[in-house]
Amino acid sequence: MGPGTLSIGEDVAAARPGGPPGPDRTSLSVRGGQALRAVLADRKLAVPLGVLALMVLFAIFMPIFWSHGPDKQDLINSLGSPSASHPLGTDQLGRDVLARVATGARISLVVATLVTLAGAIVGGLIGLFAGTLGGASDGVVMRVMDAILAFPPLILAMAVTVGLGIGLDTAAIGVSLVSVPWYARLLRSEALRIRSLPFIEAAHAMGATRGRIIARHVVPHMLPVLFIQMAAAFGYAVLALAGLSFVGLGAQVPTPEWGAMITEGLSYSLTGQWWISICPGVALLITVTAASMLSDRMRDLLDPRGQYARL
Amino acid sequence: MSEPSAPVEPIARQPERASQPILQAEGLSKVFEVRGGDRFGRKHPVTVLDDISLTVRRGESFGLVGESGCGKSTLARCLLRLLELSAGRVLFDGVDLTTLDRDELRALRRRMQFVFQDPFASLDPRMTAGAIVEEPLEIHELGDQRERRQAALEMLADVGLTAEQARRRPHAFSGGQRQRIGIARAFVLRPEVVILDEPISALDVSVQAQVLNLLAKLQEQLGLTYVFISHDLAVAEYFCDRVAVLYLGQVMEVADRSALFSDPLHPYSVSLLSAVPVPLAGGRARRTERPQPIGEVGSVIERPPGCPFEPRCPVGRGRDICRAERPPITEPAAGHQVACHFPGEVSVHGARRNGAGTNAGDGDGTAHPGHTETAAQ
Repeated sequence: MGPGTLSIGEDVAAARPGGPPGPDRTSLSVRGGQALRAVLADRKLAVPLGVLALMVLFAIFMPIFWSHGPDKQDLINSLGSPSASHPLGTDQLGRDVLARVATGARISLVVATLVTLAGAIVGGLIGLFAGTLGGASDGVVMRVMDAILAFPPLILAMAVTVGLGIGLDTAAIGVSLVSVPWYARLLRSEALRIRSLPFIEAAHAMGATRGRIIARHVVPHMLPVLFIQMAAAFGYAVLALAGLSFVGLGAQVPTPEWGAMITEGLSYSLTGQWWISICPGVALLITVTAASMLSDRMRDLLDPRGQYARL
Repeated sequence: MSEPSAPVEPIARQPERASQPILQAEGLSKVFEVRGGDRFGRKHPVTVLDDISLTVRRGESFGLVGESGCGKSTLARCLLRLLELSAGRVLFDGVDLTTLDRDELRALRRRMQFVFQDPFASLDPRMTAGAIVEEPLEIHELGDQRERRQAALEMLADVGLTAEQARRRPHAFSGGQRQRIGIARAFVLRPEVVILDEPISALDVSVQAQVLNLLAKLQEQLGLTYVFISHDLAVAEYFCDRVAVLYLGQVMEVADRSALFSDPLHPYSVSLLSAVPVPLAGGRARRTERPQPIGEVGSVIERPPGCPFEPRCPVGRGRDICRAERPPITEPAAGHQVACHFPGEVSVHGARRNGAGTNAGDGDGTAHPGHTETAAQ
C-alpha cells in the first residue's frame, strides 16, 4: 500500500481554503468509509475477510432458514448422495449434512472466537506487564511461558482436556492455554521495543504517569501486532478444536462439530459416501485458510518493522 | 507555513534577569553498567559524566558543546532527572531534584521541559499534531477540554502551524514542521527552563535558521531559560549567552560567549574552534592554522587518571602533572572557568574574531606563553 492511498482525502480537505476549523478529528463515518474503501481495494485483504464474513453469515442464517434440522434423523434416506432436497447428502442416520455443517460452523466460529479472546486477553496482559514492569516478575513469568512452550501445543492441549474431563469446553480451555505463551512472548517484545522509542521518553519528560504512558502510548502501538497474532491464532484454534474432536477428545458424537463429523463419516468414505466427511473437511479448510491469509496480509500491512502507520 | 528567516545575527538579551541561578548541577556523575567487554559478559561500570558542576542562570541561553560521545545528551537528561544520577545533585530553583519522589518530580516537570533531537521519533505517530500539543496540558490537568484545545491551537499558531494542520498526524509534516510541533509541545506548559537537545541538527540547513529564530522569539516572549546542546560551535556562538565545553564527560571550560570564542583558555576549546572553517571573501573556506588535537576522541571506557584531554593535548601531552592529576577548576577571569593546568598556553587570539582572514599573519599557531591578561590570576 503506497503512502498516498489513504492520505488523498485528507490532503484535499486540508487544501480547501478558508474552511472553518472543525472538530479535531475527522468524523468517524468518513474515516470508516475511507478504511472500507481501502480494504476493498486490497484484494489480498478483501478476499479472506469476505470468505470469513460469508462463513459467519452461513453459520448465523443457514440453520435458521434451512428446513432440515441438524439432529433430525431420517433412517429411510440414510447415506443419501447429494440431491436437490439434501444438497450435501445425508449421513448414516439420514441427517442432513448441510444443516450439520452449518451448525458446526456456529460451534467452530463461536468457540474459536472465545478461545482467541481468552488467549489474547490473558497472554496480552502477561506480555504487557512483563514488558513494561521488567525485573524479577518478568523473568519468572517468561520462564513459565517457556515451560508451556516446551510441550508440543496439541499434545499439551490434549493433556489438559483429558485432565479436566473430555468435552468441547475443556478442549477450548486446553487450546486457549497453549496459545497464551505466544501472545505473551510477542507482546512482551513489542512492549520492550515501544518502551525504548523516543516518544515514550518525551511523554515521560512531559510528566506523564507510568499508567498513562502505557495506556496512551504503549498499548495503542501494540494493537497491530496483537491483531495479527489473533488472526493467526483464530485459524489455529479452529483447526486444533476440530483436531481434538477428531481424536475424540473434544465435542462428542452427536454434536455436529466439524472434527467429530469427519471422524463419524470416515468409515463411510471407504464405502463411497465421501460427502459425510469431506463436506465438514472443506468447511474447515476454507475457514482456516482464510484466517491464515488474513493474518499474513495483516502482517504485511501492519507490522511495525514493515510499512507502518498508514492505516 | 514557514517563518520568514531573519538575517543571522546574535540575539540581544535582557541582562538584568540573568543573575540568579535556576538550574545547578553539583558534582553530577553518571555511571552506566555496560555488559560485555570480556567473554563472560560481566557488567562493568563506565563513567559517562564525571563530577560535573554547572550553574544555569535565569533567563539565559546556556550552551553545552562538545564532540559526539562527550555526554552532552546524557547530561541533559540528568539535569531533568530523566535519567537517575549516579552521584551529585541537581537543583532546580533551589529544589534538589534527586530527593523528590515520583509524583513531586512529575508535578515539577511542568516547569522544565525538553525538546528532543529527533523530530521524527519523538512524536507519537498515532496522534494528531493538535492532540500531541494538548497532551501536556491534559497530563497536568490544566483547564477544561475546550480550553486545552484552544491553548494547543494557539501554541501551534505561535510556531506557525494552522488549525487545519493540527488535525494531521506527524507523518504528514516535514522535519522542520515536526520539530516545531515538538517545540509547541514543550512550550505549551509555559515552562521556566527548556532543555534543547540538538534541536536543529536533524533538520535541513535551510530550516535550521527558521527554527533557531523561532526559539529566540519564544524565549523573548516567554522569558525562558534555555540549555542548548549543540555540536555546532557556530550555532552555539550565535545562540548562547554562556557556553560550557564538555570533553569525555567533564567540563573543560565555561565562559561567556564572547570570552569563549575570542579568548578560549583550554587547549581543547582552542582545538575545537580551530576546527571551524572560516569563510573567506572569495567564497573559499580555510581552516585556521592552529594546533589540532592529536589522534581520535578518547574513550570513556579507558579514562586517563589525569586530564581526560592529556593524550591529545598539544600543550600537556606527556607532561607528568597532566597525566597524573585531574586539573582543578580555576577562574582566571570573572565568570570564566577552566579546568586546565596550563590555561591559555595556546590561543586563537585574533584569528576568528577579526574574521575574513584579514590578519591571518597574526598568531600562527605558536603558543602564547602567559597570554597575560587572562592567565595572570
